[in-house]
Amino acid sequence: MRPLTDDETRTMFEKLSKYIGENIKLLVDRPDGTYCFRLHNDRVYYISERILKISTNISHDKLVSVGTCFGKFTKTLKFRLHITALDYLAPYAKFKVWVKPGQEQSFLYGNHVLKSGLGRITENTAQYQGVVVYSMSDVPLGFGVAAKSTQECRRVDPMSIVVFHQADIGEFIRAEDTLT
Amino acid sequence: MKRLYIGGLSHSITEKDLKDRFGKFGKVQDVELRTRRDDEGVPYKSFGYINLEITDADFRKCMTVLNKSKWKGGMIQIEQAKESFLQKLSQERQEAADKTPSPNVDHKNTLLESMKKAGVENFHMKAAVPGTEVPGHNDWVVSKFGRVLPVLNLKCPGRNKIIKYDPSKHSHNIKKLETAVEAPGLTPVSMLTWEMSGGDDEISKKRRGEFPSQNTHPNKKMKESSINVVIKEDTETGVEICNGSSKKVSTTIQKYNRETKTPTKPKVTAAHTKSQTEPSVCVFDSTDDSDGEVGKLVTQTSILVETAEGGNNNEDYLEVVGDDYTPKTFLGNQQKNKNVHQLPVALSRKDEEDYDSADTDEILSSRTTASISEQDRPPVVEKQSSVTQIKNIKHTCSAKAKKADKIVPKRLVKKLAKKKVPSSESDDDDDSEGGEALTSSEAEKTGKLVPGKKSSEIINVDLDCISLSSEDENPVKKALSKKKNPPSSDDTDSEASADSEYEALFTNCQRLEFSLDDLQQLVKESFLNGQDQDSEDHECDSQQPGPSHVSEISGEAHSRDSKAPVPLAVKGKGNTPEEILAAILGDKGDEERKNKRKNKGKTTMCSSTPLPAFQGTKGLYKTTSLSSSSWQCSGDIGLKRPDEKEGKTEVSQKFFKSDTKGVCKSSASITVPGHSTSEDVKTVPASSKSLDLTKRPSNSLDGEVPAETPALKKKKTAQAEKNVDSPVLKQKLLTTAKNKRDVLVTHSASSCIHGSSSEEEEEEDVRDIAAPTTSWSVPAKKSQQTKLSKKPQSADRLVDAKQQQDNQRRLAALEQKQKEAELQKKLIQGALAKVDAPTSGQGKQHIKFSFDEDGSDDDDGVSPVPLTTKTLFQDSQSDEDDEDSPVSQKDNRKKKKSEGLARHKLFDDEDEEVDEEDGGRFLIKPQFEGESGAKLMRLQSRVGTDERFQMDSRFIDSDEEDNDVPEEESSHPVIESELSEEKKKNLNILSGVLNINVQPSVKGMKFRDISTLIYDPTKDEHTAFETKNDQPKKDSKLARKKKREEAAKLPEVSKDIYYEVSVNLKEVFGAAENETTGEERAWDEEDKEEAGLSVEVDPVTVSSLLSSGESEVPSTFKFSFFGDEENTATETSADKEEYRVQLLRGAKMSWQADPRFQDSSDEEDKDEEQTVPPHSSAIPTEEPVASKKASFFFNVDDVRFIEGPKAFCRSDHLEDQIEKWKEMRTSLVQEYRKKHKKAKRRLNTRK
Repeated sequence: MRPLTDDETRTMFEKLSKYIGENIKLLVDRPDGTYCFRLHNDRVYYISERILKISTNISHDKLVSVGTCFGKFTKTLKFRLHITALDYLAPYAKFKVWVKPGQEQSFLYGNHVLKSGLGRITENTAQYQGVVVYSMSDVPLGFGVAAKSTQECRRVDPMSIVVFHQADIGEFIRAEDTLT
Repeated sequence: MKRLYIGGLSHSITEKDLKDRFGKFGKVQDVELRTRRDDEGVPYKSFGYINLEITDADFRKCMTVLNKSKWKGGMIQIEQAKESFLQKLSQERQEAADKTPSPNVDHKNTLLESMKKAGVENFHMKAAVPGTEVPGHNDWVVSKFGRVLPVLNLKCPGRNKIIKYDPSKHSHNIKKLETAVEAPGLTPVSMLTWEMSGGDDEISKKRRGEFPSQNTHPNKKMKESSINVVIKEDTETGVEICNGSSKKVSTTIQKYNRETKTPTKPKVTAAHTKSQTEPSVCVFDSTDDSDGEVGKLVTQTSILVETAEGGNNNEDYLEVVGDDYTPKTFLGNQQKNKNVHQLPVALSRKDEEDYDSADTDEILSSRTTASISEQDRPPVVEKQSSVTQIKNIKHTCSAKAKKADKIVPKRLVKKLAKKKVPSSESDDDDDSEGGEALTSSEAEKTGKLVPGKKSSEIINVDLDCISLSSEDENPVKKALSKKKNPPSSDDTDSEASADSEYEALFTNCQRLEFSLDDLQQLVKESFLNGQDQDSEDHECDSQQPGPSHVSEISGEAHSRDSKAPVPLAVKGKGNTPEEILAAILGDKGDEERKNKRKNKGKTTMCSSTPLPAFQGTKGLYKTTSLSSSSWQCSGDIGLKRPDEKEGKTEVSQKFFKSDTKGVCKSSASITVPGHSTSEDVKTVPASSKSLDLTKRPSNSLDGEVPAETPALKKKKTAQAEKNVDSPVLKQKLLTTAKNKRDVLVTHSASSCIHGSSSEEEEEEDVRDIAAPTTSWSVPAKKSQQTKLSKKPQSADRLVDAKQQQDNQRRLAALEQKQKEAELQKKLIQGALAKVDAPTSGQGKQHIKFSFDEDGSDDDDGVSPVPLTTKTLFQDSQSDEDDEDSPVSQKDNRKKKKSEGLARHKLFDDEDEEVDEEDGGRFLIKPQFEGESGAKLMRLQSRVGTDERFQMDSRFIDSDEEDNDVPEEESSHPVIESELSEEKKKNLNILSGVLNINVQPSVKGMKFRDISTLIYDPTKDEHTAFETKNDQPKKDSKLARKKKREEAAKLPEVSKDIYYEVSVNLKEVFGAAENETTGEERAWDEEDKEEAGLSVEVDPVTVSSLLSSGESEVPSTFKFSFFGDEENTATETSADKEEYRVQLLRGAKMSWQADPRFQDSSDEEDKDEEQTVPPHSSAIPTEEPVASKKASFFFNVDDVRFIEGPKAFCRSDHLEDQIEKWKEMRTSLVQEYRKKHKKAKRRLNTRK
């Protein structure tokens, strides 16, 4: 487990900023304690200082997970957010998409969000903007990338994809073995 | 040619008919038949138009013949109609075409030709300057863009004047016209159409008269704003259904149903459990709406689905939300993030679960629909509600017991809510302890036994089969139980039972879906299953199909509760995990076999048993659902017991406990007696009386206690025999058996259950050891087995065969394990012997009480016994520790959670043990002692436990003495600083990424209430709150004065030029002009000054002089204007005045309470002084006093009283004053003239 290098931090922040923008600051600079990002097994964990200290008692080869896994660095050194980061993305999300109850399940099975299932969307969402997907009862379901801007969303036909699926809470089951 | 209207035609008439009919009178040119139809398309009126070439005579004839005649069932009415408008149109066009005058064209052409000669083409003359006349055409002018336009002579209608309008002069008005698109030629009349061409867009559709179908939104009355969310959800789903394409409809409706169900669930629970917090309450409220509207909505949706046009309307429901939209659940989310174990979290989790469970609901409902329909209920909602109840209860349980909480999330993560339900169920059934025990057992199993796993898998398969078979029954049972319960007991009871039923259902569900996932779950389930079926069977026997279900339910409930502990008991008994597993497996196999057989066959058993048993179940359920704590206790007991006695007794005890608890719950008053009685039963061999007692107080529970307790006792006794082989116990058994002859049937029933529930082991033990003595119990079991054998094995042959195979294997394993267990038992017995011997059976019995929660049941001198039991227990504990660590650990855990003195004591002891063990571990190793040692430790810790890098004292720096103290302190800060550095770095990167300036919040984001802010002048931040004086700071008095002088001296240059005044009034006026305030002040005080001033000088000048002179131009100031004697006085007084004023200032400054403010205002004081001194100097004698006593209020001998009146009296004689005035007047006049002249001159110079 080690702190992220500058490059890594940058890539991660760039990715994160697609979803929560400058609210990353709130993650980095928290009033309720010191939190930090740590790299372990190519995965980035968001850990409080307290847990970090405790975790030093565990040798790195035995350590499976500590804190919250935000995502992992791929072999090509890109950063890929995991669904476990949703807890931190959802409250700070800049752009949100609400999915109608009918398409909730579809989304949770890993499908994209279609126009027909789009219940609500934040205005001024740009194309390819990272969005957090909610159910109509405001339960965060996952996140993805807006395939269409808000204006386009109004026009497109019901079966066209509005949000590209990236991660959903269904992965807690589907990707049980890989999530940490 | 005439056009006729023919009305009153019958609908069957065709154009040809008409043609034929009217063809007699003339040549029919055109027939037009119109039929009016109503909404359904049924024609109600038809008429026609016909064009006839007909003569008038013929027409008249036609009219007489055909008008008002009957034709094909209708009376024809003929009238002459107006010409068809199309014809008219064509005619008009024709006429228009004919009329077009040819000379016009000619004229134009000639004009054009003549123009052409002049170089004009098509009224355009290129490259001509506007205004040039067209040669040869006087009245044509070239205008802008080379257009040739005629010069017009216009005559105003009112006047005679004729205006010549030359377009070239007004050409700037002309705009170039686009080459006008040639208007489309007239469409020929025959091509005219009714169709409106247009796009597919909304407006054109509307033009065509097609309006989109309207979706009426369901009108919802919201009770509270907080409900909005839920209702919104509902409506949204409805809308969704409306919008959804027809393919989706079925699924969406399903979902919709589910949705509507989910809200309904909490409703009952809200009434039932009060531990719910707001959100759920909101839901509850909303359900009132949704309840009523469910049907409505469903119908609406069904209608709408028909009318829905597909995805067209979808657009309308796309909601766009501003950036600042915040979902309402964020609170919950955030709390979740913080991992705060609070209710909201639980609730939110519940919400999630609701969703998930909805799925299961669906499954359930789909499965159970048939049975439900049979039952003629409105069951869906009820079911759901009960389900939610279960959930809620579970949640509350989880809230109560942290264990449960922990377990639940764990499983959630792994298996989601479906899994969760079982876990929580297990909590309910077995207490939280159960879950733990299971987990531990699971761990053990997985850790150790490969065969075990295999067998478990096999079992799973078996179980699946069973569950499949039992599925059908469960729903029915459930429904029945619901039905039955309310009449017999309170609502809560029924609810509780329903809950339990649902749990059972849930277990089934799990079984079907996740049967292979969890060993433990399966084990438990299998138990439950087996029990269920057992009880079912045995109650089926007693009654007819309809009621038999009820009995089944009760039995099931019974068995469930009773068996829930059983697994634990099994575990308890088998000290090694293998044993446990084997025992469980064996049990299962047996049970399964029995169950299947029993399911089919029906034997005659007493019909009275089921009902009481049922009640008992109710009670049990209550206990399960309501008293988690009590469960814990019982669980503790159960767990402890096994150590001492081995599992069977534990089982029985648990049983008993639950029973007693049930009693407690049903009636608080009964609790004590129930407890006591139960104790009695257990303690005293001849407990039949006490049993009776229990029966009496708890009438509501009736059969429950008797039915179960005897069985328990039997088992217990059997166990005891097995263990101790004491004659007393045997006797006891016998006596009990005799006493309960009357309840024998129930006994047998219960024994059936027990037999099935308890392990094979047990049975075998009983058979082997207790067979000679306990003749009664054995027969009972035998009878069971005989029953089993009797039952036809028709349906599940295959399964049976498989099971039998499995069972055989298991039996073999079991026997092995029994042997081992017996060995261990002996060991334990040996350990226990010393303590046990004196009390023998009683001692054991007492142990139960010692762990009872409430010590209220000490009526039979139990109090001394607990102590012994405790000690006993400790011993056993230690023994256990030696023998079997996992079990003991498990126990320990449970013990920790348990309450009560005994347990505390126990706990302490254990702790001590641990301390002893661990004491050495935590001793500081000698090399790490002291400060240097600490440092060494730190060094070592840096490299970890790797031996290669083991550091010793050599590595410690020699400069310890310097660093020691600070370093110790800084060890923490080091990390902190690292982290903060990292944070800074991160923020830097972040700012790079975001292109914004991100700065770390130094003290965090603190909220400051501005209203509570107290101004502290010493704080730098608080300067923001000060109102700054914008007056520029001046270096010093002197510098300022110099400046003033310069400013004042400037006008002196012009002094010579203008006037020679004895008084350098010029200068004075200049100053006065500059400083109007001073002048004003002087004017104000004019009256007062009058007295003090010398007469020669007019007051204005004097005062202005005073004001300007004294303060601003002290160097050039001349005192000649003052009275001679007063000069010095005024000067001194003025000086003094100045000083005094400063003092006053000081007082004012204290008001402002800012030292720095004082500094800054020092200069300001100066400025104010300038105005003040003249005032004081004007009335030199009096003013000082007045200024001294500047108080607003008057004293008795106030100076102002003396001075004030003077202002109204004449100080001098009137004549003097007149003289003075005259003198002054001349000077004033002079002054005035001077000014007048000056003004005049100014004017002149300007001009």
